[in-house]
Amino acid sequence: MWPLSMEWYGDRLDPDYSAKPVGELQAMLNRAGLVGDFWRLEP
Amino acid sequence: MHDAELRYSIYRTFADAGGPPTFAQLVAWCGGSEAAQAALRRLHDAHTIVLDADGAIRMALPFSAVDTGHSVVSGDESWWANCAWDTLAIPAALDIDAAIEATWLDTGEPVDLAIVDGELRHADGFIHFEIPARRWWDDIVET
Repeated sequence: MWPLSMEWYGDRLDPDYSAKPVGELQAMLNRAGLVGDFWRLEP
Repeated sequence: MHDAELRYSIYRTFADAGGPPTFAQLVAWCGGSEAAQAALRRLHDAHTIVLDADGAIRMALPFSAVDTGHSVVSGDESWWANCAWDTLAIPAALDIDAAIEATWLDTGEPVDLAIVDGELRHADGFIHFEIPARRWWDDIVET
């Protein structure tokens, strides 16, 4: 979860932060080994 | 103040002060009470922040405005996290080393977790997610 936390939240304090596309967030979960229906962000 | 600037100011306040800005601060930033309330609602609807039932800031993920029993401590500073994941997310967002103050749900024992030199120390244990990812925002406070 630590590498995922850094990816997911590492830029949250950037003045120019903008929400990441769902596909990018899903890729982060995949890289963390969080795969399968439970971890699917979209229906 | 544009919504992006307001978002940043809210997050910066959580980071620097350990909690949300006061309503007076929000009013000053937005140029009035109604403008502040409207801007907060827009940020809430965009899932940028989370408001409580009274319209006050409850979350600016990963920061919590209320004591949740999950804290992150670094030196003299501390922040409340919304959940176990957010106890890791706060040091990540702030790019700091920190100690995590929480208890294991199954034993009630204090966790012995910390970020030291940018690495998670004592990484044993796991975080339990009850709600499927696609439903996290159905009720993010419950999540």
